[in-house]
Amino acid sequence: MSGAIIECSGVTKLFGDFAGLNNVSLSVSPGTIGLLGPNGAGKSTLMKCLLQLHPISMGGARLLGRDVGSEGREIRTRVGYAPEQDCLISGMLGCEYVTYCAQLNGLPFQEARQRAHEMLDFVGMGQERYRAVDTYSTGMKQRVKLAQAIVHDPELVFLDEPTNGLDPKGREQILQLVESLWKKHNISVVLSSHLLQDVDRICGEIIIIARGEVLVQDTLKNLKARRAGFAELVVEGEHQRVLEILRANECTCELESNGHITVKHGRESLTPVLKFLHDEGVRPIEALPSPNALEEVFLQALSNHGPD
Amino acid sequence: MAQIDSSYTHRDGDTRGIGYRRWVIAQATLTACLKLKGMKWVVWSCWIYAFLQGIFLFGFGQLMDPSSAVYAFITENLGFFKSIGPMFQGWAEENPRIAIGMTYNLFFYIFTGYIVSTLTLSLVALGMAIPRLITSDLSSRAITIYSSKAVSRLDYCLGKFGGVMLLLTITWLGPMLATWLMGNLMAPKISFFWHTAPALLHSSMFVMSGMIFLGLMALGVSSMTSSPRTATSIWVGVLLLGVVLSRIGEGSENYWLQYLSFWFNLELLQGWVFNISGDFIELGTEYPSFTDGHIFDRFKERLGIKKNVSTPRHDVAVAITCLSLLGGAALLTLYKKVKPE
Repeated sequence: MSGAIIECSGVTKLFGDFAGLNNVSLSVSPGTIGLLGPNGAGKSTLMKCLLQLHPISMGGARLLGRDVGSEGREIRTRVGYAPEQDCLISGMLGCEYVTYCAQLNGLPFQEARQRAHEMLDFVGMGQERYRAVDTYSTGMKQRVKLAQAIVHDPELVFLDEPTNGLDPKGREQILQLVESLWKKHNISVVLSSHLLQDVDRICGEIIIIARGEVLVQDTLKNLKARRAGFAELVVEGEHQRVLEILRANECTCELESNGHITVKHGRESLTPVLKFLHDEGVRPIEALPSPNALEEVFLQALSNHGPD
Repeated sequence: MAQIDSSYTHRDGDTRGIGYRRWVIAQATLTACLKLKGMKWVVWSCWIYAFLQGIFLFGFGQLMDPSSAVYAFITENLGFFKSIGPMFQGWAEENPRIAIGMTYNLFFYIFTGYIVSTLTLSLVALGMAIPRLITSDLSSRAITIYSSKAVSRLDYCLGKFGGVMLLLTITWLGPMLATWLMGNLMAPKISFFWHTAPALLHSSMFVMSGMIFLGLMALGVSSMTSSPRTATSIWVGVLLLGVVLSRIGEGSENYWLQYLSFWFNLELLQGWVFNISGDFIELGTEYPSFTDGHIFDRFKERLGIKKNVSTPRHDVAVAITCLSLLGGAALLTLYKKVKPE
């Protein structure tokens, strides 16, 4: 797909006097988009407004080229959504639930059942699919929510905190799945999270929201480039010597408590730094260009916006 | 947990229209209701009751046929029927509309709306189903999932309404139709079908209007709370309040209280649709000797027919208005309560 998948123009959502979203304007291209923000920033509200779960108070939005206000049903046939809360239908088996969700998107029963099983395979659900959803663990619920969101083969999926409550292994599996949606299957993903690592790991574009306003929208690559003059080095022993070499080469550096050395070198690339270290006989075990870039950008954006 | 990443495939099939999606919601609602503990017993009771009514109608049909073994058995062993049997035959020959049509109309008046009827069982079924209609979706926040699919709030409500209609079809309309069909299929003459058609029409009209009203009420009550117990309690409360208001208003200065009771309004509607009073007036005109007497008067009184006049139209209009207002209140509750979070 070419062109913007999400276009917002002055979207405002009011809850009484409180603005959940305040004049949000966006244009988002297909890909993996990360919605970042602290709790209560308006990430979920934005998703819900785009899906018409909440009516937009002011402004307008288009999703997949269609107007959200007037073509909501048509949009939702092409969009998937996995909400943050459980939202499962009590009493149904896992496979029944996903089949039912497929039918709600207009798939005939036979096809719905077949695709439900395929999607449950895809998200890694085994025989648990034949258990009532009420008995599922958090990890299973997250998988089933993902399965129901993609069962009708959408072009765009909204995932609201999909790794919440998962153990590291489960989190890794879900992130792999989400990553594959765009990379392998060309399904755009909007991932809302307050976990920077998740977003950093799989998203190509980042939108940072706080207090209902979009603070930053850029590609991850560009955001990292903003921190291009920073690096983190891991060296074995001889920390003091390395610090001296770096300072002698106009770098500001500091030894962290974990033994890593953070370097502000101010250059576009880390290669010259590695070269002069190499010339002095120092071979770092690990060199991370622009470390914690996303975290830094995130914190900076929040601080620029004023205290919470 | 196995992870089979390669299983994702894009689909290229067509998607069905909105009617199909509403039907899917209706089906799922019915399935959820039938899964409830005890619901199958209620449904079976409705059909057993219908079967017994069918047997009763079979016996009635046999009274019209002097060559039948059942007729011979009844008239030989039950003294009362020795005189009644030939009288019915005479009527059936002379005036089948009264003998067959009117009798069926009376039977179905009793079958469809009396305390011991499939209506009562249907109210029990609704009471059991209410926590499963919308209440459970509110408590599990499943409304959000529905809203994120290609169905609107209206589609959701129509689907749920369809589910309630299906349930009531199984417990009320279906048994009534089966009783009529059974009675006619086992009748001695094919002419029973058209003589009893008005009774079928009246029953269908009343049952279907009752279904629509009760369906709306059930959905309204179910959407009032996310607590299953509270929802059931409200339903029982509404039923009891109906009875109480009807009794308080009866014969008192505050007779208008009766119109606040949906029981009373449904009774008025039923009386108007079946026009049993009109039947009795016609019967009295055609056969005055039959309708004179204490026993007949007591019978009419037990049916709630105290005067030899049809249900006044303005009473029915008020009843229909009150039922519509109650239905409207249920719709308003649905509109207010059925929304994501």
